[in-house]
Formats: sequence, structure tokens, C-alpha cells
Amino acid sequence: MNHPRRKINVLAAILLSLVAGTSLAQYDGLSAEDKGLAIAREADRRDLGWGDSSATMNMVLRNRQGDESVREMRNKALEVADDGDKSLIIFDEPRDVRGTALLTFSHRVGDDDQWLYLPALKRVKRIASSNKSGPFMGSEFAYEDISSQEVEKYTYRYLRDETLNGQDCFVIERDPVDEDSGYSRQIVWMDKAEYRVQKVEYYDRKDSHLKTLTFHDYQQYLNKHWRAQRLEMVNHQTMKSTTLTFADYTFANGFDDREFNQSGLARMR
Amino acid sequence: MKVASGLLAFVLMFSSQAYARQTFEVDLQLEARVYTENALQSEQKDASLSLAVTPEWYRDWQGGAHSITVTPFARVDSADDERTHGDIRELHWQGVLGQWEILVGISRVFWGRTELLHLVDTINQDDALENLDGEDKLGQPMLRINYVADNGSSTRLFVLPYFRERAFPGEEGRLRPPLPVDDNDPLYQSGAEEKHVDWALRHQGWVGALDYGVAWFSGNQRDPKLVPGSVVPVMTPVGPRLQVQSLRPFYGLMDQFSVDAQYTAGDWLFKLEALWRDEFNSVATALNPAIERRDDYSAASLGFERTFYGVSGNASDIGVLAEYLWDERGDEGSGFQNDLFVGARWAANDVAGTALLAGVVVDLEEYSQFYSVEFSRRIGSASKLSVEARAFHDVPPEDRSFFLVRRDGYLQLEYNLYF
Repeated sequence: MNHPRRKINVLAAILLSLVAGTSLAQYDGLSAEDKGLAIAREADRRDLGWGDSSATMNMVLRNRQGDESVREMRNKALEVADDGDKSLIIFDEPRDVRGTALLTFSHRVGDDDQWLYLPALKRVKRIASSNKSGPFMGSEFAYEDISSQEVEKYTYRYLRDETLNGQDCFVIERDPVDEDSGYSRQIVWMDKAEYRVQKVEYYDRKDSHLKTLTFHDYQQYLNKHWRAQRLEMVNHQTMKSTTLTFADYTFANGFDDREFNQSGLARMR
Repeated sequence: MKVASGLLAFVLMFSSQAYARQTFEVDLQLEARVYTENALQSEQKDASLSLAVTPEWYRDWQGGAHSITVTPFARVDSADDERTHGDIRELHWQGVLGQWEILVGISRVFWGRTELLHLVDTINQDDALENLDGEDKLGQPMLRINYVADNGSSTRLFVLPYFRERAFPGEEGRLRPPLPVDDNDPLYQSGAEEKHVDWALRHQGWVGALDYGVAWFSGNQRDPKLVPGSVVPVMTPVGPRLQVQSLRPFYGLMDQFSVDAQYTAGDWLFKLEALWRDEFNSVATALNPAIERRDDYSAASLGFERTFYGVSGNASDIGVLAEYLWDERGDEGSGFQNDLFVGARWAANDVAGTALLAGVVVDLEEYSQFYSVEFSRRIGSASKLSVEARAFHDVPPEDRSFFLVRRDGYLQLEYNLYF
């Protein structure tokens, strides 16, 4: 039997996907759970191959009265095939913690491995990484908010399409797999054009709306990888907020595993 | 010609502006200490004001492949002339070439896992004038060669060509033996004295949730024995006797094998340090020519830390610590021969980084107690306030190392300013 029409259809689909990247039609007929997961996988796939990066991070913490406090850090990250990324964060401000550095081997499944370098004692100490919901440097970002976002860390459910700030977005619910997470669920807005996260709403364990994170000033690197330059986190329960600004992003620095170990951590400046 | 081009390459390497980083910073520390009990000796002071400065200059080249660090230290103390002292904490060049890392110069090295006692931490001499917690160290001249394997484990060889002697508080200082220690006139087992070349080898790494280190050290003991120094004849009801006027530090030689490990399981940290030491001590002094012995002993420190996160629904954490300390020598040793440390750590995780650490060490044989509380809080972005309280309680003469300082509990206020 000959099926010329089907052949043409397949050919057209291949050509279309080559021209337009991945077609949105691929989600047709999927359940809400499968569609949510497929979208998360596609976002992950689109960012594959970034290799390594370095950036400076500036955090401005604001309390209810509007008093500000500043944190400055530098960040190096290394992509790891088939597992979570490796990262090094060194603290420059506030001054009493200058020189403190944090090495993280994140994992798709299970707790991350984390080591802290304390410059006063020149001591490298493995720390418990089960503290996911704790505040990072007294900010409104929890450790789990700034750690490597792996597909496997959540279960997904596609909710709806919605326009956010003029961008056509998927709205997906993702539920943390880890029971140490401080959240019952997160609602994520991701633009359909480039699969960039635009907004996240965090719901605490009592399922009340805790925080909202918005992403601003996306820039593209290596003609492929999108990175937001500014993140705004607002805590609706305490009325505190944190602005996290990334600057001086560089890719293809030639980092390798040798810098992301305890010797490299103690050497970090 | 070859030399010239080599020199040129060297100069170019160090003058390359690309990827270079340079920092200069100063830590200024103001300290006020009040001793809460009357001193054992009349000449010892009850309070002190003190100022310490630690500048640090750092420069690297080629994205950190080569670096130079210079960190002098100086303190001026109102009560104790000996505590007015200076040191060079760091003065070294460090280079990285692939899996090799080389450090030449003066530096500090930390080994260990447990919180109360840093048992296996051996390379550097304590700066005993700073604090009794063993966390301030004198800079040690060294050549360090570090090889990092592909799995992240590392093997380090230390060659230590010059020994740093321990400094002791002066007559007006607290936290000292009843007799002054003449640290300008130490005795050594080795004929080479402070020029004895000590060496150490350490391998450390991690497998899954286990971090481990094994080390061998051979050289001068860092913790001296105190032997009688100058003696004078005095008349007593039972006839003339020799009375000791001062003590002298004696540094024997030792070989030491140590292991240290931490197992991280969820909110639990399990910690262990253990050592086996072979000491050679042979010294003849005016009063006591009989000090000649070879000690072979073991000591260990092991415990856990369990952290409770987000206590009572807010952001603060509470950690509970317990460590057991053992020394085969009993009361002849470090004083931590059969002791239990229990403590709690509170971290507010607030903007000011407020933290509190409180604990007690109990001698399980004599029931003497040592209490310690440390509190700190950031003020603004470039200063920090710390409070430290230490107290000794119910110390009998049998608990030898603490008996001498049983009245030297204190309350300390410290203000750090960073430039």
C-alpha cells in the first residue's frame, strides 16, 4: 500500500519544525500533566549547551519601611551533562562576610552537595543542603529559588494560555517533589516565543500566596541562551522585597571541573 | 639570551592586565575585655582595651592562575605588654598549573571537622595571645604542593622549614600559668631547634555524603610542655629548697597520624577527628633532669550537629551540637580527656545576620564546667558587633589544664570595622 499523503504530511512537519523550531502543535492531544512536563522539557532543551558562565550579582533588600541593605556577589557556573549544574558564589558585600564562598553541586534528584569556605579560619565545611526554604543572605530569595532549576525537581500541570505584558504565555503549575521545599506549588508564566520564565507565584505550605517573582530585561548570549538581567521578588506576607541584578555576564570562559572543587573554592577571590 | 627571554616571559606574565584582580582591605578591631573574677596573681589585670589591625593586599594574574597575598597583623593591648604583638599571617605566592597548585611563603592551613576542639589541625602554631579557642593562628613558612585528582580529591605535601614558637601572656596578662613563661628561651628536642624541617602529607576528598581527610605529620610539637626555668634556693621549715621562678617552653618532636571525617545526612552532620601520636621528649633542666620519655597515645573528638530550619514558622534556624572529647593521657594531656560538649546555635537569618552560639563543656570525671556564649550582629554594611562570654566553674586541681585559669572567665565586647 502506498500513502503519498501521509508521506507529504510527515515531510511538511519535518520541514516546518526545521524552519520554526519546535512547533506548538506538538502539545496537541496531551493531558494537562504531560503538556506541562513537555513545556518544561522544551524550555530546558532550549538552554542546553551553555557550557559555563560568570556574572556579578547585586541584591538590594528592602523591608516594609523601605530601608535598604545591599549584597554583592560573583557567580561562576558550569553545565554538567546528565545532572544538575555546578556553581561557585563568592561574597563581596556585606564586608564581614567578604571572601566567604559557596560551592554547590546540584542534582536532578535528591539533595544538592554544598561546601562553604570560611576565610577567617580558611576552613572548608560541608553544609547540610536540606535547608531549601531558608532565606539566602537574609533576602526574600530562598535557597531553592536561586539553585539550579532542574526539570526533575517538580511535577507539572499546564493550566492555560494567558497574555502577560503583551507576551503570549503558557501558564503552568509546578509542584516541588522535595518535601523539604517551603512551597506547596508554584505558578509559572513562560513566554511561548522563547520559553523564558516571566513570572513565578509561590504558594507556601498552607497554600497561601507567599511571594511573586518577576523577570526583567532578558538578553540573549551566544545567539541562544536568554538570561534575565533583573529579578524582582516581593513577599506579600511580610511586604519585604528583594531586587537581584545580574551584570557582566560572560560565557565560554573555559571553566572546567578543576575550578569547581574544594581546592578551587578555597582559592576563590 | 635564553635567560633574557625567560625573564621577559615572566615579566609579561605578571604584567598582563587581562583577567587581573587586585584588592586591598583593612579590618580594624576594637576589643574591650572584663575579667569577672579576681585574678590568682596580684599583678594580673582585671580589664583590657585593645586595638587590632589586619590589612590584606591581594593581586592575581591570568584569572587567578597566579596570585600574591600579603596579610600582616598587629595588636596593641592596654593590660598585657606581651599581648601587644604582631605577625605576618600571609605572605605568599600561589600558582595553579592544571591539576597542580603550588604555594610558597607564609600561610595558614586548617584541617578538621569538629567545632569545639581542633584536634588534628597541626600545621600552624596557635596565636595563643588572641583567644583560647585555638582559631587564631600564626603564619607558617611553607612550601605546599597540592595535586587535585579528577574526582576532586587532593593530595598535599607540606614542607615547613621554620618553626613558629608559641607566645605566652605576660605577667600582667590573664589566661596563663601562675608562673611567667619565658618564651624567649625555649628548649628543643631537635638540635636544629626552630630550623628543623617539619613536613606533612595530607589526602582529602569526598565520596557521596562522606568528606574525609587522612594526614601524616612529622616534626616539632606545636603545643609545648612547660618545664622549670630559672630557680632560686629558698629556706623552708624543712630546710633549703629550690624554688621555680619561671617556666620554659619545651618543644619535643613527634610523628602524628590523623583522620577526620564528616558525614552529611539531611539535617544531620556527623563529625569525627582522631589522632595517634608518637612523641619524643627528652630534656634536662636545672630542677628536673628526669623529663625523658617517649609517649605514644591516641585522642579523639566526635559528635553531631542537627539543624532545625524555619523554627516556629519564621526564618530562623536552631542547631544542636554535641561532641565527646577523649584523650588517652587522661589529665596529663590537653584537659579534654573525658569531656562532653553540648551547645546550641541560633541563626536569625535576618538582614543583620544575627547569630548566637552557646555551649558548655563538662568534664565527666571531675564535673568541672566551661561555659561559652558568642553573639554577633552586623551593623550597616561594613561593621559588626560581637559579644563573647567565657566562664570556668567548679574546677578542681585534678583538672590540671583548667585549674590554672579557673578565675579567668571574661566578658568581651568586640567591634569590627572594615575598610
